[in-house]
Amino acid sequence: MPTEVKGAIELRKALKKFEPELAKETQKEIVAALKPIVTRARGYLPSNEDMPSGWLKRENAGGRWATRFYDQATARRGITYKSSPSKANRKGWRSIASILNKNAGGAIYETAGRKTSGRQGESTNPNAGQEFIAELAKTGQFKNADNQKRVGRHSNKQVGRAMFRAAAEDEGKATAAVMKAIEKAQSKFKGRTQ
Amino acid sequence: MSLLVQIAAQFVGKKEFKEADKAIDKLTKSAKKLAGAAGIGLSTAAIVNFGKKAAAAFMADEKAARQLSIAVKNLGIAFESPRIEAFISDLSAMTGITDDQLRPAMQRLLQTTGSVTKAQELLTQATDIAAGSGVDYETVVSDLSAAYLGQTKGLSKYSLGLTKAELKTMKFADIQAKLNDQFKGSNAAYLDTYAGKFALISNAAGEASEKIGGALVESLISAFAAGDPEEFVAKIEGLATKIASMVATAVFGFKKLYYLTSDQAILASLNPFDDYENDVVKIIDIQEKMFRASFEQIKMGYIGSMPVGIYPTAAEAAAAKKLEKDAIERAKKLAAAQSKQLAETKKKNALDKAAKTLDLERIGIQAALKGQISETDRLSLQLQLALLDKNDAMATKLAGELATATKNNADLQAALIATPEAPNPYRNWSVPDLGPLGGLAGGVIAGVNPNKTFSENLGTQTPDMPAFNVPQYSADSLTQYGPLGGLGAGVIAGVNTQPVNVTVTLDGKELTSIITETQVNDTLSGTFSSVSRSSNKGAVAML
Repeated sequence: MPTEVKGAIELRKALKKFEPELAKETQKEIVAALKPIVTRARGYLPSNEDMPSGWLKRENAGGRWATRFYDQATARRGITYKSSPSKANRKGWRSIASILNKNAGGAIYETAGRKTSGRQGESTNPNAGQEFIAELAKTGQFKNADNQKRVGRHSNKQVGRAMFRAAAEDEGKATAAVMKAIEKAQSKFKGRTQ
Repeated sequence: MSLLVQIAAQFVGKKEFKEADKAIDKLTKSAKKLAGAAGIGLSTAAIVNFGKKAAAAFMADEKAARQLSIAVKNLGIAFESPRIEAFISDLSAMTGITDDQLRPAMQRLLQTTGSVTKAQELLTQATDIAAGSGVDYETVVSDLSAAYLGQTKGLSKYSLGLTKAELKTMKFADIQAKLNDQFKGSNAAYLDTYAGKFALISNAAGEASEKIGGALVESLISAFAAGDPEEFVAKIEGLATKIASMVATAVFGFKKLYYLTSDQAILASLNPFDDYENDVVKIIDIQEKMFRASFEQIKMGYIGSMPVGIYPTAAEAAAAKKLEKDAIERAKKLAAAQSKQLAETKKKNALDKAAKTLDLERIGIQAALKGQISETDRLSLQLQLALLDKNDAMATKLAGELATATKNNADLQAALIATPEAPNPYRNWSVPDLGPLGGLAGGVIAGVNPNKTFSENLGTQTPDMPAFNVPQYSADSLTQYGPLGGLGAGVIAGVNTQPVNVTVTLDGKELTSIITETQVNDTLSGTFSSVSRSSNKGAVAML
C-alpha cells in the first residue's frame, strides 16, 4: 500500500516553477531512495539458463507468446523507477514515486503462480501450467510487498518474485526516504518563500 | 501492462466523480440556456433560493422590528408600538421605502425628538427630501436628526440656498419649513415614475419582486389593478393575509382536535368537575389570537391579559400627552439654547471684529520707535507709520529725509574707507643710552653700540654687566646658615658666627614641649596631625 502524501504534487509543481534547483535536488533524493529496490529487484531475475527453454526468445516465433518470452537482460531493463507524478488511476490515486516492472517476461516471472498453482491452458500438455510454475518457483520465492496488517483476507496484488519481493524486503525504507525528501523540500521551500 | 509498486501517492479524487461533476455542470448550463430560451425564469433551485432569501429577509425584518420595539419601550412609550408599526406599514406602502429602512430611521428620530408625532412628521418629510435630493433615505434621516439638535453641517448638501453661517443661525422649525418648501411632493412625483412604481412593487413583494422584470410588473398591475400599483399592493397584502389566516385556522383547528380527542380529554368529559376541554380550547384560542396578531393589523382588544389596540387607554393617552408636552418643552428649551448660542456667536463675532481693528503692526512700530535706534531706522519707522496712516504729505517729507540720511550714511562710510591708516607716533624713537647706575650717561655699558637698537645689541652679543659692589659667595658657603638662619659665617662683617641657643618658654613650658604635646593630643583625638611625605607615614587624614 502506498503512503499518502497530501499536497506533494502541488509542492513539486511549485518547486519546478519557483525553485527549479530545489526541485532537481528533491528529484535526486527520491531517485536515490528508489534505486536500491530497483537494483535488488533486478538481482532477483534469474538467468536465461534457469528458465524453461521454451519460454526463451525463439527465432521466427509467432502467436501470443512471441513477445512474451523471457530474457534476463530485457527483463532487467524493464524494472525501473518513476519519480514524477503519474496520472490518476481509477480509484483517484496519483503515484509520486513508484517502481515498475514493464517487461512482459519479467512481469510473468514476477506474478506467475501467485493466484493458482497452474491451470490447464491451450497446451497439449495438461500439466504444462503447473510444470511452468514449478520451474519458476525453483528460482525465487514470493513475497508480499503489502505488509500492512489488516483484518480479513489479504490481497495478493503486491505479491511477486522480483520487484515486489525487493520492495517487501526494503521494509519501508524507500517510503521513509521519499517522505523525508518531500518534507525537506517543503520546509526549504517555505523558508525561501516566506 | 506493467506492474507497479507505489511508494508514495496522493489521492486526487475519483475520475468517475469528476466526470459526474462535469456532467452535472454541463446539464445545469444547458438547462439554464433552455429555460432562458423558453422564457422560464424559475426552477426548483430558484424557488428554493427564493425561499432562503425570503426567510433571511424575514429574520432581518424581525430583528429590526424587535430593535425598534425595545427602543420604544425604553423611551417609556411601549403602548405606542402598535401605532408606530401601523404608521411604518402605511408609510412603506405609500412611499415605496421598505420597512427595513423605516424602522431604524423611526428609532433614531424617536430617540432624538422623544415625540412620536414629531418623529412621524420628520419620517414623512424625509421621504420627500430623499426623493427630491437623490440622497439616500438613511442619510436624510440622519441629517434631520442632527439638525434637530442644532448640527446643520449635513444640510449643505441639499442646496437650500443658505450659507453655513445662515444655517447655523436658523432654528430647526425654519430649516424644516425651508426643506418642506423645496422638496414637498417630491416623493409623490417620484412614485409616478416607472422607477417609483417599481420601488413600490418591490417593497410590497420583497426580495422576490426584484427578480421580476419590468414587463411582468406592468402586466401584473394591468391585469389585477388596472394600472394602479397601490391597489395591486393592497391586493397582494390582502391575499397574503387571507392565506395566513387560513393556515392559522387549519393549524389551530387541528391542534384543538388533537387535544380534544386525547385520552385526557375523554377522561375529563366523564368527570363533571374537570374542565380540561374548555381550558385547552381557551389556551389554543389565545395562542391563535397571538399568532394572528403577528400578521393581521392590530385591532382593539386583548391578547390574554395584555391590552392591544391602536387606541390607548385613558392612562396611556394621558402619558402620551405628557410625553408630547415634555417633547414640546424640550424643543422649546432646545430653541432657547440655540438662541442663546446664537447670541453668544454674535457676541463672539463682534469681539473678533473688534480684535481685528487692533493694528498689531502699528503697535509694533510705535514700540520700536521708543527704543534706542539710529536716525535712519527712526525715519524708516516713521515713514512706515505715515504710510499706515495714509498721510501722504508726511510720508513724502519723511521719504526725502530718509533718502538724505541714507545718502549721508553712505558718504560717511565711503570717507571712512578712504581715510589712510594712522602711523605709529613712536616709530622713530630709539632706546636712550643708560649709564652704569641706570643714568643716561652715553657709552657707560660696555659692548653696547649706541648706534644700534636695543634688540640689535641683544641679538649680536651679551653685554658685559657693570661691576656692582656686591660681595662674591662660593656655592658651598651658601649652604651654611648662621645662628639666625642667615647666610654662612663670615658673610656679613661684624656678625658673631658662633651658634646661639635660644630657649623660648610659654606659660612656664618650653615651646617645643608645647608643640609636641599638642601634636600628640591631636593624633589621639583623630585629627590629622602631620605628614611625612618621604615615608608616607601619617598620611591619613582623620577628621
